[in-house]
Parts: sequence; structure tokens; C-alpha cells
Amino acid sequence: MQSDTRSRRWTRREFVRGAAGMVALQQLHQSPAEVPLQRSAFAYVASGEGSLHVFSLRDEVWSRIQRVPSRAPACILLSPAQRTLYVANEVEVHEGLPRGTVEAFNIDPRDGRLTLLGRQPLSLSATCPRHMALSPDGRLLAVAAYGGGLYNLFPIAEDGSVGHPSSIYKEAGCGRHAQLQASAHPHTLVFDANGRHLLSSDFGSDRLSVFAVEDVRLRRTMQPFAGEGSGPGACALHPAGTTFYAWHELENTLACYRYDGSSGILGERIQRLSFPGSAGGAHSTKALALHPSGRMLYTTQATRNQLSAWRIDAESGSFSHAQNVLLREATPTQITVAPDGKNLYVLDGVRGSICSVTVDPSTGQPGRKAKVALVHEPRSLVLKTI
Amino acid sequence: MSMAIKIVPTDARYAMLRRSRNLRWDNKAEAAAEIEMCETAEQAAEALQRIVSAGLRPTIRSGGHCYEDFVVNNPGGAILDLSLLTNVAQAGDGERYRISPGQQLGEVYLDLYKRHGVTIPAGSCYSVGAGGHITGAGYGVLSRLHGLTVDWLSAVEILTVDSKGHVALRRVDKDHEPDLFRACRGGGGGNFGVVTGFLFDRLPVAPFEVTNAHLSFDWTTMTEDNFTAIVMAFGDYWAKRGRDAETWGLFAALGLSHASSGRFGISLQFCNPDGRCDDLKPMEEFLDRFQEFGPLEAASSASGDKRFPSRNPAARERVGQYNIERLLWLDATIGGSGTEQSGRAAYKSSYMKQNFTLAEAKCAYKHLTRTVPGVNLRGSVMAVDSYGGAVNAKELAEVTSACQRSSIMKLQFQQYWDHAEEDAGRLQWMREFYTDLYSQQVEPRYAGTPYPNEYYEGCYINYPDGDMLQYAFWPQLYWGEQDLYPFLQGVKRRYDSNNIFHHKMSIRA
Repeated sequence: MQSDTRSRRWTRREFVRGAAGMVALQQLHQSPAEVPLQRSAFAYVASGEGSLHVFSLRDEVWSRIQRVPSRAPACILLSPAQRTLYVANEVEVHEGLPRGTVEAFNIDPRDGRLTLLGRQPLSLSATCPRHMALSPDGRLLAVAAYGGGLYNLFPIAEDGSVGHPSSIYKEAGCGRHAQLQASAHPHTLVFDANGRHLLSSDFGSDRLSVFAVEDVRLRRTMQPFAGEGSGPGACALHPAGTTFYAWHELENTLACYRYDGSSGILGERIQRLSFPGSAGGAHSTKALALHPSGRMLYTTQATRNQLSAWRIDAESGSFSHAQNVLLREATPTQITVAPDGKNLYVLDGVRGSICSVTVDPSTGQPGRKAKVALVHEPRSLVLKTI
Repeated sequence: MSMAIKIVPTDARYAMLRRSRNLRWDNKAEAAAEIEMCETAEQAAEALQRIVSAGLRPTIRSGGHCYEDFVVNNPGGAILDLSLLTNVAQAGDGERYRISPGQQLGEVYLDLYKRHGVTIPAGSCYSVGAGGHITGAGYGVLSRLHGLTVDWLSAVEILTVDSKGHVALRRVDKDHEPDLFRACRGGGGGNFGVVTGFLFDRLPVAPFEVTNAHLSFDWTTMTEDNFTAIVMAFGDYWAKRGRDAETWGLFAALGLSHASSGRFGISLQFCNPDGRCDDLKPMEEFLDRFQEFGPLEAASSASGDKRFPSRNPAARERVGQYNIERLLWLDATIGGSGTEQSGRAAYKSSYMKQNFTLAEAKCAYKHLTRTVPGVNLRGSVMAVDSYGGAVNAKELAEVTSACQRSSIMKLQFQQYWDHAEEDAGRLQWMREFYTDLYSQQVEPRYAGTPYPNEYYEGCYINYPDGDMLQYAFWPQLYWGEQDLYPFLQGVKRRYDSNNIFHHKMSIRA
């Protein structure tokens, strides 16, 4: 791993400035005629039963208003303007060929309902996509095909539809776990704040990657080793763009790395925290998410019925334990933090529920919790707030 | 070490070299970003490593005759072109014969004949590349006499990509990595690695001479009764008399052209098992079967079959009531068969274990005489090749990956045309014909396919047909329903765990 001597520490002022820039960028893509008629919040949930569930949210009361068929939806994303919903379909075969698909749905700005805009196949052998990332300007969709060991980059048209892959990157690699790491398994993708680089974790090869996004093509610039048998999985980039957090699923550790967005260099590991239990064991589902303030990191492990909150040091990016929130009889599999930072949602992919946890929007400190919806095998959740 | 020649879109050669011979697959949006022309195994290894390390997908081309888009549908990827990798002698080969993947079959025949007087029982098209042909089993005019090319194969040199993405050159044979060796004996190209050499300890002696003959039949006077009788007389020969070893030197093709072409015909090549033509009785006996149907004597193949060239008119002689051509074997094998054909094309295949039933013959008649408004069906052929003989040595199914060892005929449905506007109509006619024909004697769940059963033995992987992907059981059509496909999946997991080598009909581990 290269050390990052040029990285700067994130400051609160810089973060607020960056966030304001993001809002302005989103507004650029939203014409006056497209401004929602009313301020409503909607939740979109990918369900393993093969559907997308649409909920209307009023005063934290979730009312299901639509259920739309979708093959094995594993990950969903909202466009920056929140007019389009993207879905990664974790399928092995599409129209007889070994490849997954992504779907785009138009979102009705008035009632939040979904209409299928199109379905785009991934490249050959890009099977079982589980994760995606949208570039900050919403013009590129990156997809990690866990099964086939490929990355696909798609251009997004003005109407939100997904084009043919502009870049196909075939990964190769393995780890020491004979069954789980026999080949590369791209796990999670994150664009950095300026969209010039894409960061990824590869569960199968024990490696992280940084790709330069050049002329709608991917070029790998570095591929640091995360440790023998580490199994890098869920990961996220701090809102300031200076620290990269990752679960190392197989060895059951949580780690963070320095990152310099200007050069695209993923630097030295800042911290590595081991958890007791399944080191070297079977692949279990671990999730993490960051509070928009950048002050708190949240993690879950499917083997533990709790949400852990970790306070982030503004200077170093390191994390320290702040609080556990007990989730009774739950198998937490995914976390989503509301864009306004007032709530986070824990998905129980086994028992089929969604739990809301209130959060202090300035500190990220978790508060009270409540079950808000029942969805069969929820895989992914996003919130539309504008 | 010199590097492979890299062809990129700014190179004037790119427009030509990115293309498939089959212009159905001429889609710029799916074209590879580069073509690496390799002259040696070392160049191929270096280029392959560069391709894999850059995250590109490699596809492999030797002669470029793939019927499907396995090679050219590689958007942003790299074609590893082995057509310049043609070296035939290499230190350390000992007494072995070497065939390189870039050699065209015609070159292979010439080289083996001139150097050693031997041959391989491979295909009849001069310009087909050895790389794809042999990895898919390789059969041709001499296969009834000598079996499949892979039946003679002793070792393979192959570049594989290990689980960490590193390229390695392996020499595999029955004692060294025998599973990979078996997989390369008919499993199909583009699955496990890049073959850089085929080695043979021994090969059959090339025949001294052969005789060719042709019969043709006039569609304008053809009745359904006559048509079905001809088809069934043809199949009956291979189901009965054709099983006798003294007939294994007889190869015949029944070219059932669409009625709009005016004629269909039978072409044959014959030699005695010793490679000479002293006793022509088996051939005469075969030809006699068709006299009652009033054949026309044809100077050459009426079905457009290029495998039986009229090379040397002076060699014609009268045998009984037939005009035949007696040709030196190399003349018969090389002459005229190098015709380059590039246009749009579609193919399907099947193996038949028994003669045609009357219902099948009627079905063929119906579709070959059917007209479709606005659709020109000239250039449509159902080619029925004789099969079996030495190929059907059952024990070879266990040591090769060519599992079809019980068939007496091998069918290739072909269509050739020029304009994209004709695609839909022609393909629909072909699909309807095939589906209709193979819905009569298969279980309903396999309708539309020659799924292995008492009548059929599936399809030939060197005649790949993407239409079969609509069926979840498509692998069983090409590799049988026994343990071969699971075996190949195991080899794939072991030697290409990252699925670096893939196309739409590659082994799916």
C-alpha cells in the first residue's frame, strides 16, 4: 500500500461547501417543470421475492403504495435528481446468455410510483451483479458483477435510461478460501466525490481497487492487497472523501484507509479492528454506512442482533466505538441512512423487516428505534426526499 | 523476444481484421478494441498476459470460421489472432507430428502429406483454421475410415490463466494433466485456454487415391414419394450396409437444397480401407440404390458442396453405368475446396442414430418445397453427411470430449445470403423447419431439438447454433446427458476459475 503524503484532513467547513456544491449540481439536472408538486418522501425497497416495494412516508408511517416485479433485485440506487431508480438484478442468465441485468424505472414525481423505463443486459459473463454506484453527476452507472468477476460501466442518457456498456473490465484473482474465493468477486463500488475515480472491494481476490474513469472507460490505477483471506466486502467513502471504510468479511475486521481524491490514491491503512467470531469462516453479511455529517459510522453483522455506531475522528478518520443499539430477534443485513441524516434504516434480510432508528442529524448519534415495514427478504433501500 | 503485432482501430488493417467471415456478426458496437497477431507461442503468452492484466477479455481466432459470434462479439476486448502461428517443426518434438493452431486445414494436408505421407481425418474446407477445428473434435471426409482428428491427438500445448491471473504454458497429455487434455479433445474452442500446438505420435497414412461421383435430382419433376424414398434410401445405407468396415472408406453427402435452387444431389468420395480404389463395388452398390429415382449424371456436386471438386476432367472414367473421377488423394482434397465464402450465414446441426422416418422425410420435403412470400430461399441446404464407421469406437468417448459415438449421419443445416434485409425471413424459415423436424421423435419437453435419445445424439459444437440457448438443456445437446458436461465444468473450474475464456456457448462452471 502506498502512503498518502498529499492527502489533506477534512474539515467541517470543507464538507459543508462540498455538500452545497452537490445540491447545486443536482439542481442543474432538474428543470423547473420537473420540480415535485409536493414535498413527499418515498421509500423504495428491493425484495428478494422478485419485486420492488414503494412506500409513502408520512410522519414515519410507511404505507405501501405499489409493488413492481423485478428479477432478483439486489441493489437499488436513485439518480441525483431522484427521477430514476436503478436496479441491479442478481441473475445468472438473461435471455439464454450468462449475464445479469440492470433496470431503470421512471419515478412519478407526484406519487412516487415506478414505471419500467428499460432493462439493459450486462456484458457476457457479468453474472449476478450485487452492487452499483452512480457517478456524482448521474451520468455513469458502475456495476459490480459478483458472480462473473466483471465491472461494467454504463452511460446514462438524459431521460435516465441505461445505455450499452461503455467499459467492461474483466477481473482475475483468488484468495485462500477454496470455496468462497476460488475466483474474483467484485463486491462493492464507490465513486469518489469528483467522479474521476471508482473504488471497489473484491471479496474473492482479497484486493481493493482504484479505477480512473477516463472518457467513460475504466482503467485500473492501483490494486492494493487487503490481506490474505480478508475478503473485502461492504465499503464506503467518507463524505469528505478522505477516508475509505471497508469490512473485511472473511477475517471479520473493520478497516479504514486514507484516500486522496485529487490523485486517486488509496493510501495506508489507518486502522484495523478485529471482531471475535467468524474469522476465516463462512461468508456472512456485514453492512456499513456513514452519516451525512461524516461524524458517525454504522455497522451491522448478520450474526449479531445489534447496530453499532462508531464515532469518527475528524482529523484522522479513525473510528471508535460510540454506541450499540440492540435489535431484538433481528438478523441485520443492510443499512441505509436517510439523506437528511435524521433516520437510519436497518434491513433484516432473513426475518423480512425494516427497522427505523432516529438519529441526531448533527452528531449522528442513534436514538429510538421502531419497526416500520415488513418486506420479504429486503435487500436494498433508498429514500426519495425531493 | 518480438512482440505480437497489435492492430488498433486507427490501423488500416483493423476494419478487415475485426470482422467475422459471417457478416451476420459484423457489428461495430460489439467489436474488439484490438487484435493481437501472434506468430509464436511466446508472443501469444506475452500478449495474453497483457490482455488479462489490463482487464480485457481475450477471444481466440485461428482461421476465423466460427459460425457464431464467439470471437468477434467482444466489445472493448482483444482478439488473440493465431493465424500467423503456423510453425510446424519445433525442437523437442521428437518423432511427433505438430500442427499449429494458425495453420489452415489445406496447409496441414499439404504439409503432412509432403513431409510424411500422412494426414488427419479433418474437415474439407481449405481455409478453416486448425485451432478451432481440432478443439471441437474435427471431422471430415476420412472420418468414417479413420475417426475424428482428436482420436489421434497425443498432446496439446496450451496457455492457461491461473486463478491469480498469471499465464502459464502447459503441455498436457494422457499422463500429464489428463483432464485438461481430454477437455481439449472435442470440448470446443474458447473454453480453457489458448492452444498453441497439437502433437500426434502417429497419424493415418494418406490414401493413395480416391474416386468421386455425383448424382443429382431435378426438383421440377420431384414428387414427395420420390423425395422421401431417396432420403430414406440414403439413410438406410448408413444404418445397415454402412456399418461394415469395408464401406468405411465411403463418405457421401446428400445435399438437400431448397427447391428454388432447381436440383439437389448426392456427392461421394470413396477408397478401399487400404487407401486405394481397386475394388469399387461398395461405391457402385451405393450408387445403385438411387437408379430407380432417375438421377442425372452430374459433373460436379449439384448441391454446391465444395468437398468433391472436379479437379481433373481427364481422370474421368466409366465404371459400370457411372461416370466417376479417379483422383490422387491430395488433388481430391486440396483442389477447389478453398473457395472463400463470406456473406451472411446461419447454421444448425444434428446427429442421427437411425435412418430417417417417413415422417421426417416428409417434413423435409414440406419445408424444402415451401415458399415464403417475399423470402428468397436459394442458398438453403440441409446437408446430410454419412457418419459412423471408425468414429463410433465407443471407448473413445471416455478419453475424448466428443461423446457422439453412435450416429450414422450428421446433418448441417446451412443458409447463405448477402443482404441484412433477408435475415428475418430466412432465419424464421430455417427455425421453423428445424423445430418442426425435431418435434416428432423427442419428448415434448425437448421439442424443437435433436435431444439425445434412441434417434438422435444432439448437435456438433463446431456447428454452434445460438438458437439452442433458449433451452436450459442446451449443454446436453452438445456434450450429451451423461457425465461429460459436468466433467468439462470441473476442468473449467480448475483451469479457468475466473472464466477468462468465455463466449455465449462456452462451458459454464
